[in-house]
Amino acid sequence: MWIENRKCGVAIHNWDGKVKHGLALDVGDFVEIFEENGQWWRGSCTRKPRSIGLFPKNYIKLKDPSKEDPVVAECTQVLREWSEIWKKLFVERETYKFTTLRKVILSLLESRRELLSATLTQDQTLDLQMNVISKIDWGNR
Amino acid sequence: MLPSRMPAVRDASIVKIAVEALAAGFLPQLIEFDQRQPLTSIINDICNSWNIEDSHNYSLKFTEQSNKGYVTEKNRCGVKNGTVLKLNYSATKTVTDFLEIFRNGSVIEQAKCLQKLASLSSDITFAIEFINKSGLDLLIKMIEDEKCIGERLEYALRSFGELMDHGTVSWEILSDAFVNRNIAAISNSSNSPHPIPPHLIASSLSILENVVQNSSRYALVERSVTFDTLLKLLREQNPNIQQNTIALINALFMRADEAKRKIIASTFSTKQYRSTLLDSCVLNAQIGKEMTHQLSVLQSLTLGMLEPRMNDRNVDADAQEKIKELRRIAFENESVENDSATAQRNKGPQQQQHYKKLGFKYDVNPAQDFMESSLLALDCMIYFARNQTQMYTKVVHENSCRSDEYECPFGRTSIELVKLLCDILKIGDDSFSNRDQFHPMFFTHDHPFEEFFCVCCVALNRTWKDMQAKNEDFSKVIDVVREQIIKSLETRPRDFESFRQKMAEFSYAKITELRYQKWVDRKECESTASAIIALKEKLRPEIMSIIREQRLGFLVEGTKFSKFNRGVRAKDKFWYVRLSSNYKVLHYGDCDEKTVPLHEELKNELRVSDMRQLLKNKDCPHVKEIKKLTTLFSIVYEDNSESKTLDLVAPDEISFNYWVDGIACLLGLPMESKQMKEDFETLLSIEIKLRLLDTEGVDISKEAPEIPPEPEDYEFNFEG
Repeated sequence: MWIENRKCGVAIHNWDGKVKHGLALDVGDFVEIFEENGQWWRGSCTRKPRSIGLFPKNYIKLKDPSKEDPVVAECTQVLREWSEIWKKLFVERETYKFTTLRKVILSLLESRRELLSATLTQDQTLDLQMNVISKIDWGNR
Repeated sequence: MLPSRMPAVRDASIVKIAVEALAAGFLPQLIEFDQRQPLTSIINDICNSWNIEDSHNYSLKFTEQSNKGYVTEKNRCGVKNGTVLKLNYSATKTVTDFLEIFRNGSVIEQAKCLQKLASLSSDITFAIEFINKSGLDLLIKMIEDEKCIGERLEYALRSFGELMDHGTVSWEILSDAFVNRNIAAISNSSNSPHPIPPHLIASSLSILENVVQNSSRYALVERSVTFDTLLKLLREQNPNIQQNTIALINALFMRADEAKRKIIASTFSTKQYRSTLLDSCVLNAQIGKEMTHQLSVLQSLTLGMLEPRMNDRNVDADAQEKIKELRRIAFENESVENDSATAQRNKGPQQQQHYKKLGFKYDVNPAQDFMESSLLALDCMIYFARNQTQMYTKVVHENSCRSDEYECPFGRTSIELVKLLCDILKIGDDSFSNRDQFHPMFFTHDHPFEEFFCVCCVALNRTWKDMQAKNEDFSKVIDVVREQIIKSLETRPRDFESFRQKMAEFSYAKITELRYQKWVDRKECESTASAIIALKEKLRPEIMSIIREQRLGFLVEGTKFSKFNRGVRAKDKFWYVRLSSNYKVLHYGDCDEKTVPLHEELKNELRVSDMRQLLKNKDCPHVKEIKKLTTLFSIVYEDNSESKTLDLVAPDEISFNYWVDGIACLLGLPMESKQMKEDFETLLSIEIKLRLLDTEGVDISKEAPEIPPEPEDYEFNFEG
């Protein structure tokens, strides 16, 4: 029986989705779960938000998004938006902007990692957050 | 010659083996050993072929290095093809013979017999037979007899130990006399006229260890074995004796009551005992696994003595006095100056000020800090203040003088640090079975724990400063310090000075570096995970199409090519080549240096459907004229069934790469330029990083998890 259970998680392996009503996932995909039945979840994947389907529970590591640092969450979202812009810059051969944005993306990735490593002191965290926010501001301009 | 017949289906229950006889003069037999036939009848057959009549007195024995036991109905499945067995007197017969010799034989016969007994006793079949025939009682009687000495006693004790090892007999059966014989054996080892064989001492030590652990004669051992004896035994240059001595000490320690424990712990903490342990055991280069275990148990037991203090939260007068002393030592100079009437009146607030500077949580009443933690912390702090006064005052003043929020509160951090140290050393954890680590440096000091605290306390202060930590970062600093301590201890420093150096080496910067390295290794390892490799493959077409789009976009914009005349670039003469936006036609024509020609100005057309081939550099027809070998390309096309070429020289490497990739795309060929590979890696690496953003801190599965059976129904609560 399917029981409502709202959760979030990450795919830890590629799932081909080859079952009835299956939803194929790539490793790293973030999923929103709506309901469960035994060893299965049913939900959607943020990368293709329109489809809902089944994936095995053992392919998913649950995550609590409310526990995530807001700056890290902002980082994640911004990085994904920028990557689309960045690919467009590549196609348009905006070489200078392309290389610059790549550098900023990499440094943002590094800052995000440091924030997540939870080993920074408060001062270091604040500094880094400021740094990230200013980079995001730069990029959004 | 008859053709040799293949044997019919081979019977798995018959194995081919060899049997050797007990005495010389009998040729070994090769026989078929039928697993379904009773052993007695097999033995009977073997005896018959050797003309041995009393087959009931015989057994078969294994002859392997690791197993020389009797073959029994239970273990006979161990007989395999090619096994070599030996026909021997049965356990029953051997036991009967032995007992006869013990009762009536000469001393020499007995000695020989005991030696055999020692090696046979580890066999459970034999041991049970021997014990059932009251052999053990006879053996105990022999050991109790003062006349049994030297070699005879040595083998008797060893046999006894082996027999008891099977665990079938209770240790309670032993008499005082028996225990005393063992105590005597270990007690006058060095000053007896006939030196006692080391094996005998080792056996006695092991028996006494068992007596202490398992019998009520424990009190006798405790009473009669002196510390002095144990010390002498530790000095014996024999690893077996040393190891068994420490095992005996551990057994005594564990069995002792609180008061006795304290005596044992404090005795073995004195310099004389410590340095003996250190020199003859701890620092021994070839220290075995069992010795390591015994030493770690001893260390755990000794450190375990701190447990009551660790759990003590009763701040008594003595503790109150220590708290005051902490203040006095830190602020002594100030109080002398303030010895006036006003100062007396201000004493209360000033004291509070001082406790605040000492970094207590409750500066009005620091006793409360200890009521919430443990008096062990107070002991460590006062030890630090008394023994390393200069360092202590430096730590306190350095922090209390900074008026910002970056000071490291001595009191609070010390209390937390002691908690951490107890945790690392597993104080209060009473499971000894899996202890296999000890810290040599703890054998080098009268107050090892306190000394350990002092080194760590100074290191903690330095780390706090390095991290520019604030109060809120308390737990993060403690985390780093924990790693520093564990990493330093792993190097097994021999004394506290080396430990101090190691702590300095594992600075905050070093720990950060190690943590980063660990992350990099993890990512490295992840990148080889099958899931990620599969994902990269999956992303390939998408990325290739981005590159393709870019290359064709470049062609649509068009490029200005120089014209060459007999190998020399013609001045002011240019081609312009451009791809139509529907990717179907190449338009080209003359242009001048400055302007980009309009679409209508390009008079020549080359249909993509007429293109046949792409030539590069040395394959081009114009290579003969133009020596520049890096940016030449030619498009081979068909014009009225005639093969023609459009020969071009790209102005630079980038446009060359873009053009050859673009033309390859138009021809439906794979792109091959160096630039393409570079672009692909750049795009893929970022794409993968972004795809895996949410896996930070999550373990990617190495193998694909097993797919569960499909659900029983598909009646969902939500619309899909």
